[in-house]
Amino acid sequence: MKRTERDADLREELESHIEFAAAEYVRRGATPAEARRRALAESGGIQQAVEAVRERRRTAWMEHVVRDAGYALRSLARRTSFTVSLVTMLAVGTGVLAAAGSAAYVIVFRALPYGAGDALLHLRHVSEPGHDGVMFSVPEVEELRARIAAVVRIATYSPWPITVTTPRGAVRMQAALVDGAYFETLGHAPLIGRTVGAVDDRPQAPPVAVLGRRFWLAEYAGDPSIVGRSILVDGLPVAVIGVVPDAPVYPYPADLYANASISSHHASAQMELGWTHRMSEVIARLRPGTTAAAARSAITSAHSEMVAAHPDAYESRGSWSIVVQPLREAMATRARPALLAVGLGALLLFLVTAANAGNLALVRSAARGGELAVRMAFGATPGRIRGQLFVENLLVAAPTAVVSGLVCAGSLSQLADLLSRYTPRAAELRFEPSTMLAVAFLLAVLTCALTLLVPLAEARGLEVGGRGPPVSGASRALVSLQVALAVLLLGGAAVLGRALQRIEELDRGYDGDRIVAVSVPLLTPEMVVDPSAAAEGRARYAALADSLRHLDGVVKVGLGAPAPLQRAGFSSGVEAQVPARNLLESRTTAELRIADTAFFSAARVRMLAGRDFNGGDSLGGPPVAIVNAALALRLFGDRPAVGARIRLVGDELRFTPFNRAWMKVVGVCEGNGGDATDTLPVSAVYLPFAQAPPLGGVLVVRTDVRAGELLERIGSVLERMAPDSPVGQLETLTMYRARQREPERLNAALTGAWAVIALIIAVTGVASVQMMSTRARRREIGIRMAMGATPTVIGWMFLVQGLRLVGIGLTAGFVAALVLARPFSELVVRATPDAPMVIGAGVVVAASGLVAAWIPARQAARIDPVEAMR
Amino acid sequence: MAGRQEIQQGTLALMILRTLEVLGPLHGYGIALRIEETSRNRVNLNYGTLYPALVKLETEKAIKAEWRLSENNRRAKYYTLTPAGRKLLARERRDWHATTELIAAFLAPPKSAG
Repeated sequence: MKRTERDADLREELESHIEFAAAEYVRRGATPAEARRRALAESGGIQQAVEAVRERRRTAWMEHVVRDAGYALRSLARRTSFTVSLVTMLAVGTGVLAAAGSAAYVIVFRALPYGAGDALLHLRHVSEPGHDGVMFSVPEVEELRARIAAVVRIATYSPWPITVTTPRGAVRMQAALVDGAYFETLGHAPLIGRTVGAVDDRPQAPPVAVLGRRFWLAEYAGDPSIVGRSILVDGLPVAVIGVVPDAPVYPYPADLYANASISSHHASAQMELGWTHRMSEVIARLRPGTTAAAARSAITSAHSEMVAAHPDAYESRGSWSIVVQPLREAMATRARPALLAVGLGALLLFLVTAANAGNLALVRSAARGGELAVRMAFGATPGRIRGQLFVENLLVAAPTAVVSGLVCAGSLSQLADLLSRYTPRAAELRFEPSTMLAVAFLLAVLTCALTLLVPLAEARGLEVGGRGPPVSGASRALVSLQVALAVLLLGGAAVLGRALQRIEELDRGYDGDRIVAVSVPLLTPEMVVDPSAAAEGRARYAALADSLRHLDGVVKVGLGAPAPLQRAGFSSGVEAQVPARNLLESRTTAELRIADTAFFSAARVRMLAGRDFNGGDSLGGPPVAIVNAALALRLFGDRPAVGARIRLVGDELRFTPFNRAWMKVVGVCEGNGGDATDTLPVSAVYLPFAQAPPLGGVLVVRTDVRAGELLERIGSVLERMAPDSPVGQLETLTMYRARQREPERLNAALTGAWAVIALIIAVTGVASVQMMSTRARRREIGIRMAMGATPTVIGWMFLVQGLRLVGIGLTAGFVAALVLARPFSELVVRATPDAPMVIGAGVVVAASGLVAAWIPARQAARIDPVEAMR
Repeated sequence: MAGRQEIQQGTLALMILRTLEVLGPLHGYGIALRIEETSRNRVNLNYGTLYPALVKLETEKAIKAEWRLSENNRRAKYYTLTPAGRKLLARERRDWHATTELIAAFLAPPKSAG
């Protein structure tokens, strides 16, 4: 009824009341006019009555909402732990899933942040099927450009490490040396100033640089006047011409773009003319109206024509090929397995939390069965109860959405960290309130709806007398699912913990607390062309090492590259002069490392055979090398390596400062040279610092005190002696290792925490469902007891029923573990899921499940048959 | 209105429910008349008191209303007790007795020891 209708109805009712009263006065002898006057006077006023009724109607409606909200708040506050766990469950599940989903969307589906977006292709040059790509040489690019100009426009960039002197000091960074077509082809417009164009491509063009926004903000505080000024790049002034928005550069990241003039190497004739001098990445943009498929076939055939036309430039002609891939896909490729793993993990987490939330609601509604029944008995309609539960869930949903948003933002930054190893687009992962909150909120509402369904279903089946509704199959399945998840998570946590333990055992080779390693690059590959500069660099290292040696507590100062525990940036083919007979190949691949005479002893790397480098291994002396145990085994099998001759091989060597001279192996050192998270032992060959080409340098300082306190003094020496050098992180090996282990540690800890939560929830689930079951079957229990069943029999009946739930869950968990074991072990370094760990997890879950099933069974056994049958 | 009692909050609902229980379906005038008679005119109900109470009971679904013709052919809105109303009455009655007993016990002259 509308308000006006209700008022008219009321007025008519009041009018009839007056007529009744007036009729009574007439009957007693009053005149009709007098009777009506008296009746009206007694009424207290029609208008006042209408107002009073209206007021009552209004407050009645508001009273309901206020009372519901108050009631819900009290009810939630009374169950703080329930409310907190419910909000946490829902928020964690939805927040992490929303983050994973949005990461997948941004990295796999969203258009690239370039003007040309999805029209961009990445061209990968492959020398052998299955190998990583090599780059393109300038003549190759020229020839390709001519052959495929009709379908695509081509742009190139060459990744190049540089040292920039910024207001905050020297920074070592990756730059992209781009051609004049690069920015226009990609549609990468400047924020301020201009970008590199055709005018900067001319020979003798002045060196210019374009800054990425992130670098500009970090190093120049976003000062727009930087455009037009000069900055020092590798010691030479370079004019800054513009700033561009951040955008992913693939496959090599770059925060600074420059023309080729900043590198004498790139401007050299060798670079311009060498057919196999491959240093450029190629990006192509589809011409309007051309499809990616048409472009691909045109590029592929142009490439094979080019290979056929230059037989001498392609060593094994048949296997050279070109891979054409949309740039967006190329950038996402390596991140896909991680995204899939994260997505599956998030989904699993969501299921766990949703199951937990549903279960919590079940437990709560069981606990409130009596309360709701009483309310219904006193005339609360199912509608009123539903309304009350709805208000209650709204009160839960609001904080959940907020917490979920926070969880989502946190997970996104973690994900960006993780994915930055696999895709340059990870930097685009940002918490965007509009989309993110919507996703998180939707999920929260979805999950709340799931929660809402449970008590509603229960409310409908309620009867007076405190007997609960029968436990549905769905609830039982939910509980079994939780048991299964608990098994999986507990097993997973065990495997992760074991993997971490193994890694840390392997790490124990170094006395990391007393060894400091810091990268101080005084030598650069540029010094190859200028031997006097290299000599000066070596002299500065000697002086630096000398001042460090004089510090109190310093025992030994070694020099080499890279630091112990770190992977080398450069690998090469290595060949033995006299290969072992029983080995299939006489050559293998090894990391190239550099060490001076003190490096091994400073880093406490033992010689297993032969000798360390010594003063005789000098620049003019016979070339020597030390191999690590893994390389010795691969090249020589069980024959002695010391005394044998090896050399570096491979096409790529031509463009490096290394040569192919035979070297005598003087020693075999221990260790895989790399990091314990590398699953295979890494082969490494060490060249003497005095003989090797300049490759940068790492100072290794061994101390006889815990080195932590020495760090500051070492830092001040470095600041004094190498002020213009981009000094790396100054830390002990232990600190470095701890930093490296953080993700694994975090993973293991998180999985462990989740496993514990999952176990607790599974136990609560089993217990609560069984309690509901006993409640629903009270009368049946009474009858059975009256017919002669002993409490023990009843107890057993419920215990078996509960254990069946646990059993189903265990079986499902084991099956899932079998299926997931392989992908899991491929995903996690040094994780080898084995039966004992999963069975161990199963035993823990089964024991907890037994306790969980026993409590309600004991309750059932204690039921008084007379009470139950009333 | 000297000599007349103010009606305590809540007791009016009890009076209305009880009236409907005893007399069956009844219109507002009939309810008011009956309450006044039963109280031997110590209670006087004006509309502004009676009708909001009826609306409240109706929204609580303790009573339901419908338009009918009275014995002397007047159209009037008749109120009927619902099952929920009966339960509510039972509870209110129990509460009332409990309260009055409690108050009576408090107001009784103290018993002498022994």
